[in-house]
Amino acid sequence: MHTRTALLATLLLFAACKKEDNNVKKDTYEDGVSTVIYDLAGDTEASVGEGADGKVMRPFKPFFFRFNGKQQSWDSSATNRQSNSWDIAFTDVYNALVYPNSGTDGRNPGYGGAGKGLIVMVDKPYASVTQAPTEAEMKTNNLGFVGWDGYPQPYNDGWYFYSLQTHLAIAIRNRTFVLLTAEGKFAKLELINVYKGNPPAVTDLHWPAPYFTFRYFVQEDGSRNLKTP
Amino acid sequence: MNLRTLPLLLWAIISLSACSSGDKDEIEPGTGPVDTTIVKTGVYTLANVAADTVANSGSQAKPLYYSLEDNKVIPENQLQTANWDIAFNGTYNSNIACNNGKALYSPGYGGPGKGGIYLVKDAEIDAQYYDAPNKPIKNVPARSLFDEAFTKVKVAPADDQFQTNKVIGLDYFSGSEDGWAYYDFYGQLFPDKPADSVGHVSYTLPRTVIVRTAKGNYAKLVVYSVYKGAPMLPTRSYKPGYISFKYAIQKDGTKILDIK
Repeated sequence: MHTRTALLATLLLFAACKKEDNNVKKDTYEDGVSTVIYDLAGDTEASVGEGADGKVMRPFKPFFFRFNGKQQSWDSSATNRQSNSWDIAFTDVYNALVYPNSGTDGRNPGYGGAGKGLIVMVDKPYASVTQAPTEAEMKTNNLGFVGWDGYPQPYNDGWYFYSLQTHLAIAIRNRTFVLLTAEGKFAKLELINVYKGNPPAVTDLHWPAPYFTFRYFVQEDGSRNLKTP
Repeated sequence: MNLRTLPLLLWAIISLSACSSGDKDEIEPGTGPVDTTIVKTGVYTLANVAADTVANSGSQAKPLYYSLEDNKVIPENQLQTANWDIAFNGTYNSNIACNNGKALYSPGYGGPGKGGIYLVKDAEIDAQYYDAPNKPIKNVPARSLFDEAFTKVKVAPADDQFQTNKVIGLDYFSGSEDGWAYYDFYGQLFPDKPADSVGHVSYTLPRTVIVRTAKGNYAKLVVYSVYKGAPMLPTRSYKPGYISFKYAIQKDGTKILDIK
């Protein structure tokens, strides 16, 4: 009963957004300078509930991603975690709790290493985020991680809403994250979807996940300029 | 979503066995607020207080606002008053928030509340069931530990130790920190049982939450269970949204919480 109601609500929600979503095509993410990653597989063998074919109900294994060269790594050794070989880590349920690489934040997978990572939220579309805040401002507003919006604290801005009942994670549109990479360069990141094929609406609990679609731009010259076409 | 508009259960009958004994001789007079309620300094135990019993985690649960000062549920239309002291909110009412009018993220923001919350972690008690942050608990803590943890708290901390914007919720779940309940998402505590029966179960922890009330008095509480009937060993078949807890409130304005 609860499930059916929640599903219905989800369907209604999507019906309301459908028109807008239909206008979003994959190729609109390509702007010529940003890197777009499509369907990067997370830990697809883990499951949050029973009944998913070929999956096991167990914690998700984290993975690490380096912006430069689009490198994904599953090496969870302390040596790798505490190195600058990654810029963002995808951890926890659905690999959807995303950390920058920070050596100083006790909760961070890179704690104890040299990573300079910070992450702040800007409630604007990706292309309209043209300049990073100052490093001082980013330190002040550092979220530490981004995941489930409003969790664990009401002020924890995230990139998706997640329902434990329907097990559906819905990315928040027009929300961009500004980062400091492991090396301390300014970057911006849009986390677009956790479902395979970046579908605008998911109603099937067993839609293949987690497969990440996201895009990013790293300003290599060290400035705060994040302008993209 | 019409479930959320169901006439709520907030007025459901609360079974409370109150045992209040003043202990006034032992307590020095305080400088706190003058008490105008009938609830006296003492210990109160409540069973199955109905929060959002039809919660689905697709949305935030309907919050439960509770007055420790008056020992009763407070309706949401009194949110910006000092009439309530704690809110159980968030997914499945798993967060405890205070009533603080100056704290932007407190549900009582904008009102007159002076509240705060503080989680006590007692190393001796934790050692009996807790392993380490981000790991499953070693075992389901015995009910007696809850009473022990509660009794051991004899004084409230300095006011600057209290949290006002933060909630206290699930222990190390999806980015959270120390909490008052362990959520076994994957059924890891009982690997031999079907994961569907033991996964997604909340085990309360014997950790005392110290509360500064909206009016500025001090109280302590421990939550025994969030399931109907307060089972010692909950499974997924129990109904969530029924909070059983014990609290003690000090009405003389002092921080003395050694209340019998």
